[in-house]
Amino acid sequence: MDTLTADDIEALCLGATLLGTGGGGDPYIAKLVAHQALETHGPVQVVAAADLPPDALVLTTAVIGAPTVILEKIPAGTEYVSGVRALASYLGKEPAAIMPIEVGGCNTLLPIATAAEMGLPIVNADSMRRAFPQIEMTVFTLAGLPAGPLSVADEKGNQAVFETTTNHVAETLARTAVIQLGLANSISCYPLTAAQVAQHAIQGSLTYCTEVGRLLQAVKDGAEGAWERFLDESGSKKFFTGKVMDLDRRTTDGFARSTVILEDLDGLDATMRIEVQNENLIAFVDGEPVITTPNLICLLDCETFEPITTEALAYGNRVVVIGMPCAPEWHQDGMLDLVGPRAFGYDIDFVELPA
Amino acid sequence: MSRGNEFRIGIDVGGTNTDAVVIDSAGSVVRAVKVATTPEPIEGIRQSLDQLLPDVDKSLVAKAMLGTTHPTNAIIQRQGLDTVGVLRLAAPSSLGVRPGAAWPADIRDMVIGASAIIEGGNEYTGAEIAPLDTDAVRRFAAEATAAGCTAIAVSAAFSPATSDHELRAGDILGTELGSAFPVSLSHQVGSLGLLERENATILNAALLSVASSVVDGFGEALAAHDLAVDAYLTQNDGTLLTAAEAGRFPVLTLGSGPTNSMRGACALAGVNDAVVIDVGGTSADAGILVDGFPRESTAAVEVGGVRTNFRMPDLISIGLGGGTIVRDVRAGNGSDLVIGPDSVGYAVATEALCVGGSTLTLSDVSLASGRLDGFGDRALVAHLEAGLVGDSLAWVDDQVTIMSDRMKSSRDEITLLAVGGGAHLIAEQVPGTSQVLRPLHYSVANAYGAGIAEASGTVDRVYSYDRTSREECLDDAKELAANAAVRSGAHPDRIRITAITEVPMTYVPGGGCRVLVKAVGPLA
Amino acid sequence: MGSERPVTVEQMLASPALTEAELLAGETGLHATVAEVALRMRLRDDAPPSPGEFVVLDAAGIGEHTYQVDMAIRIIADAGAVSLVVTNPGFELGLGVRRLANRFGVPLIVVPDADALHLTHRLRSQLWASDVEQASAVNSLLTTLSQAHLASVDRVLEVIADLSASKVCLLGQDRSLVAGEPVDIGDRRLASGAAHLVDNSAAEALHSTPIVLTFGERAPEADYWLVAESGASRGMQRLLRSLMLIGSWHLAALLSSARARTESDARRRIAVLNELLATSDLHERDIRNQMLALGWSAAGWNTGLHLTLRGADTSRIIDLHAEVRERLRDAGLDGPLVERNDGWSGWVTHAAEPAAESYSATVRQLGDALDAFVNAHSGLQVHAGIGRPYLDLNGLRRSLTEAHEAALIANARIGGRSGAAHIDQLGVQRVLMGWFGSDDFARYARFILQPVLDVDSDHELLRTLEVYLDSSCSTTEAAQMLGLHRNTVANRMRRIADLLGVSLDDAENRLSLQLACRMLRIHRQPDSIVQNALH
Repeated sequence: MDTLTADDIEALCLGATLLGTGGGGDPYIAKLVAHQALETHGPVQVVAAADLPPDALVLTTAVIGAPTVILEKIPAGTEYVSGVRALASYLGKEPAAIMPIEVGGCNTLLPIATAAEMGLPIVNADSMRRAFPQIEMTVFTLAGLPAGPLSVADEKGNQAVFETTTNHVAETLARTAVIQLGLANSISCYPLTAAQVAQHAIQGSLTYCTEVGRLLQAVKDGAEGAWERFLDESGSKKFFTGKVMDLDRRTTDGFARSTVILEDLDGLDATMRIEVQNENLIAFVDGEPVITTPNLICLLDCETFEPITTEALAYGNRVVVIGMPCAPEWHQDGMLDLVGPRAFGYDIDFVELPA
Repeated sequence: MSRGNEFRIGIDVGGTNTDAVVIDSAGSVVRAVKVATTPEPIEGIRQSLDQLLPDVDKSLVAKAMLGTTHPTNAIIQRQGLDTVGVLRLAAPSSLGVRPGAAWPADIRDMVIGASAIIEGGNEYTGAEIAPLDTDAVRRFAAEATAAGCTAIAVSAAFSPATSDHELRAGDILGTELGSAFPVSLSHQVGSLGLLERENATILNAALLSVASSVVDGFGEALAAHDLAVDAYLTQNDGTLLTAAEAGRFPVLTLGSGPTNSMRGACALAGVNDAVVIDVGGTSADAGILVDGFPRESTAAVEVGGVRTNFRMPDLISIGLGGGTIVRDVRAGNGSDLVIGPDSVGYAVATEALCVGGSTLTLSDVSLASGRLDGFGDRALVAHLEAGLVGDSLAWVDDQVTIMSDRMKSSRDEITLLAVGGGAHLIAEQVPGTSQVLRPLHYSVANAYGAGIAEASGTVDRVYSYDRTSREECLDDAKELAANAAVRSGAHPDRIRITAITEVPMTYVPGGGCRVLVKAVGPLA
Repeated sequence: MGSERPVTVEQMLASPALTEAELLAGETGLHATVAEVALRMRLRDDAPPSPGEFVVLDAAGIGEHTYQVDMAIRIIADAGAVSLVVTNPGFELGLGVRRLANRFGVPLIVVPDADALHLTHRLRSQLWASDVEQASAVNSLLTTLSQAHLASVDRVLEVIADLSASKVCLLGQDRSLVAGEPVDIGDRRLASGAAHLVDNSAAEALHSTPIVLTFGERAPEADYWLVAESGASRGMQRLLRSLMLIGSWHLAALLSSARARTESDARRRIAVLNELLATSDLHERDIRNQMLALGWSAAGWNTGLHLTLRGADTSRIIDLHAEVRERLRDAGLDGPLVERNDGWSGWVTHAAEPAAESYSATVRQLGDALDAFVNAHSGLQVHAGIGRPYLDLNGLRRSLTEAHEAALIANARIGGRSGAAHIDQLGVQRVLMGWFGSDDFARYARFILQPVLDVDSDHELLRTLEVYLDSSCSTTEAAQMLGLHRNTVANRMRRIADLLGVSLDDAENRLSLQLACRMLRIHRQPDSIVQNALH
C-alpha cells in the first residue's frame, strides 16, 4: 500500500467499522470527509515509519467530542489541520507525517483527510488497531511515551496546547477543554519521532484495516469461501450466532454502558452476554467469560455481515459474534492494567482467544 | 360537543390502484371503490371520486384525506423535480462535507443547482457557532437564481434545537427573492443529524412543484363534486398534514403508503399492536404497529439513493411473494431448492404453473399444499413432489418467523396481520406471535388508513438534565409537542403523547440528553 | 419445632426469613439438598462454593456489574452448589440471567430489602436447627442413662417420652405391655429383624425398635419392642427414632442383665428343688441349708402346688416366673416357686395343720391367680394341682407329688380350659394315675378307638363319645353340652357303636371306652406332661 485514493475509502471504512468493535464512532461522516479531501487534494502517500528519517516528527490527529454532536457539527477539516499545526508550532518543528492514533471507528479516516489537506504522507501505523474510549489506552502508554504535549482545536481557530504529567491527566484535561469547545473537536497528541513510531507503534494498521475490510466485503458479496478466508486471515473465531433477546442501555459518567443478551440460534440453548462501554469489552457464554478486552468482540448481521454498532442494535437482531485478536504489540507488560478487563472495572481475568 | 354522523373520504394512490373509501363516524366503511392508477394521478383521483360519491350523502362529508405516491415516484423516476439552491449555515464547521456529497450523481446533478456553506448555525449549547453571515445569504440568493434554482433549502447546525438562524435566513431570502419564492427550512422538515436533515430539506424543496400540482388537483377534484371540505394529506407516520402544509412539506408525505396500509389493516382487524406482513407478488414487507402507529426507523432511510433522517416507518422487505420463482436445482439425488429472489411479479396471474404458465412460483407451491385456495387449477400442480412443497413452505415459514421476530421489540407475543395478495403463504401459526389475523377488507386498507389518520406534533431537542430536572425537561418537551399537534389541527383536549425517546449523549458530562416527543390527537 | 433434614432449596424458600423473596428462575433445582448456607460478596472460579451450598450473594458487592450474577450462576452450577439468593439488587435481573438460571437449574432468588448477613444467619440457623435440637435431646438422654441410679426400664421410657413428647412403652414378645404408658398398637406392624420401623398407616406414626437379647445363627427375633406413638412433625419423628435407638441399646443391656439374674436364680432354685424331691435323709441337713440360702422354709405344714403351662414355648417359663409368683402372692398363696420343665412347683407353709375345709378356699385362690394370669396372656393355659398339707421336708416332697398328680388329672379332666384341682377332691380318680402313666395302656386305648379315629379326622365322633360317657350316657345332656340336636348325638352314638363293634349298654365297655378317651386326650398333649407327672 503506497498511496490511498478515494477508491480505497470504502474498504477502509468497512474495516474501521469492524475494528470499532461496536463503538468508535460511526465512520460514515469521516468517510465523507476523507472522500472529499482525497478528491480535492489528491491521493495520500502511505509510508512506513522506518522509511522516514529517524528524527522526523510524526503527529497524530483524531476527533474528540460527543458522537451525537458530531452528527450536527460536521468536521470542517480545518480544526484537524490547525490542531496539528498548533502542536507543531509549540514543538518548534514541522511534522513530516500524520499518523492515526486509533485505527477503528471514525478516527481511522479523519487523519487521512488531514494528511491530504496538509500534503503530508500518512504513517501506516497506529497505537490501538481497534477502538478504545480513552486517549491513554495506547501501546505508547505501555512504552512509557507521553501523550503530551497535546493540542485540541475547534473549527473556529481556538486551540489549546497542554503539557501533561501523565497520560491519564492528558485524557482528563482534553475532555474538559472539549466541553468548552463545542464537543466536536480535534486532538493531536503523542508527538513522536519516526524512530519512536517505528519502535513502539502498531505497524501496518492501515493495511490491516483495509485488508479485513476487503475480506469482509467479499463475505458481504457472497464470494465462495470468503467467510473462512476472513476468519483465517484475521485470526478470528466465530463464538456465537444469536438473536438479541434483551438490551439494557444506560449512561454513567459520560460513558454509554450497555448489556446485550443473545440467545443462540444454533439450538444449543446457550446465552451470550456482552458488556459494553462505548465498545464491546467482555463476552460471556453461559456466565463464563470467553472474549475479553483488549481482544476484539465484533457483531455482524447474520445475513448482510455488516458490522453492527451497539447504538444500532435492537431486539430481534440476528448476529454473528466473532472474537478477533488484538494487535500482537499489545502483548507486553502493563497491557492488562491499561486495557484489560479490570481497567474497565470488570473483576475478570483476561481470556486468551483459543488457537 | 356532539355532532351528528360525519363522513370522511380516504383516498390512497398506489402504484397500481387508486382506492377510495367513505367512512362514517363509527369507523364503518360506507362505500369503497378501486380504480386503476392513471399516468396522471389526479385523473385517477377524479375517477375514484366519480365512482365513490353518487350514492353518498355529500352533505355529510366533512373531511377528505389523501395518501399518495406522487412525490416518491417523482424522486425515484427523477421527474418533475425542482432545481434547488442549498444553503448551509454552519461554517466554519462542516466544511469537510459538501452538500449532496453522498448523493447519486444523476439526482445531484439534476436537483442541486447551487450550494454554499456560510457562517452561522449553533452549538449544542445554543450558542452561535458564528453570527449569521447575512451578506452571504443575500449573495447566495443571487447565485442560486442565476443558476436557475426555483427553490432554496436552508439548513443550519442544531436548528431543531435553535431555529433562529434558519428563520432569519428565510426572511432575508424572502426579502431578496419575494415571499412567493419557495424556501424550505430544515428544522421544519427533519430532526437531528445535519447531513440527513439537509438532504431531506433539499428533497422537500425539489418536490414543491410536484406537491402543489397534487394539492391543487386534489382540491379541484373535490370542488368538482361540490365538496367544500377540509383536505389533508397523510404523512409517513400515519398522521395528517393540511393540504396547505403538504404543499410546503411534501417530503413528509414520502412513504405514507405502507403506513396507511398498516394502520388501515390494524383498524379493520380491530387491533392496536401488531406485526403486519404485506405479501405482494414480488416482496413481503413487514412493519410493526405499536399503539396504533408504525414504529419509526432509527436507521437512516434512503429515498432514491439519498440518505435522510425524517420519520419513516420501520420496514423490512424481503424477496418473498406470490410470484417468487422456485427453482429445483438437482444435485445428485437430493432436491436442492433456490427460492427467489426474482419473481414473475404481477405476471403471476399468467406465468404461474397453476394458471397454465411455465414458471414454478411460490403460489403454485402454496396451492399444492392447500394454503392457497380459489386461484389457479390444482390439477396443474398435482405433479409437484411433496418434498419440494414441504421444503419451500419451510423456507417461507422461516422467513416469516425471522421477519416478525426482527420487527418485534420484545419477546412478548404479538398479533400478526397477514395482508396482501400473497398473504396465503403465511401459515396459520407463526412462532413468536399470538395469532395470525387476515382482515377481510384489506383491499381498501390503504384508503381506510388515510381516512382514519390523526393530527400530530413532534419535538426533537437536546436538554441538559443538570440545569433542569429530567421531569421538567420532559414536561417541557411534551408541552411543545402537544402545541405542535394542536397547530396541526388536533383537538386540544384529546391529545396523547405517543412516543418519548431519550438518547443520552455520551462524552457529555452533566446529563445532556436528546429528547424526542410525539403528540397525536384526532382532528378537532 | 425443628424442620427435617435433609432440607431442600424449596423448603429453605418457605422459610420465614425469605417471605419477601421472589423466585425468578431455575425451578428445576428446587429439590436439591442444601448442605450449607454461606454469604458471599463475590463468586470466583478460584474460590468456588462447596457442593450443596445455598449461596447468598450480597448485591452491594456487585454494584453495577450485573454480569457477576451470570458468572455466579455458572460457578454455582459447576461447583454443585444449589441456589443463588441475591440480596438488595440495585438492578433488574433480566432475561439473560433468568435464562441462564433455568438452563443450569440453579434457583435464582431475589430478596429486595434485606441485611444479607442477618438473612444468612437466619437461614443457617434454620438449616441447622433440627440438628441442634436433636443433638441436645440425645445428649439429655445419654446423660440420664449414664446416671446409673436413674437407669431403669421405666426411667428410660419416661425420658424418651419426655424428650420426644410421645407415648412410649415396652412390649414383650407377645406384644403385651411390659412397662411404660400403654400404646394401642392394634394390628399395626412392629419392627421385625433388627431395624427400626415407622408405621405411618394411621394418623399417629407408630415407631417400634426391636430389642434382641439372644443372637444366634438364626435371624434375630425381637424379645421386646420399644414402641412409641407420635403425631409430631417429621423432624420430631427423626428425633424420636434416634432416641429410641439409643434407648433400645440401653434397654437391651438392662433387660439382658435382668434376664441373666433371673436365669441364674432359677437354676439355683431348680437344683435345690430337684435335690429336695430326690433326697434321702442323709442329706437333709444340706438341703435345709440350701433352702435357707434361698429364703425358703419347709418347717411346718406344707401345701404343695403345681402349675403346668400350655400354649407357649417352655423357654418362657423362666420369663413368666416372676409374674406367676406375684399373682400367687396376690391371691394369698405366698411361698417359694420353682421353674420346672412343664411349669412351676411351689408351696405355702403354715405353722398349724390347715383344716380340710380350707382346701376348697385354696383351690379358689389358685383359680383366681390362674384367671388373672391367663387373662393377661392370651393363648396361654395353665392347669394347676394342689397337694394335701404335710409336715416338714418329707411332707413337702409328698405334697408336691400330690400337687403334680392333681395338675395332671386337672388337665385330663378339664382339657382346653385353665383350672385348678385339689388332690383331695380327686379321690378315686387317683386310682387311674397308674393307667394314665402307662404307655402300654396308651397304645391299647388307641387300638380300641382306632376304628373311630380312622373316620374321624376332626375328632367330632370322639368328642361326642367322650361327652356322652361323661354325662352318664344321657343323650339329652350330651346334646346340650355339644350344642347339637339330641337325634344327632343319638345317631352319632349308633355309628360309634357300629364302628367299634361293641354295645354301650355294657358298663364294662363304657368304662373301658371312657378311660381310653381320657388316655387319648392326655397323650395328644406333649409327652413331657405325662412323664413329669410321674415324678
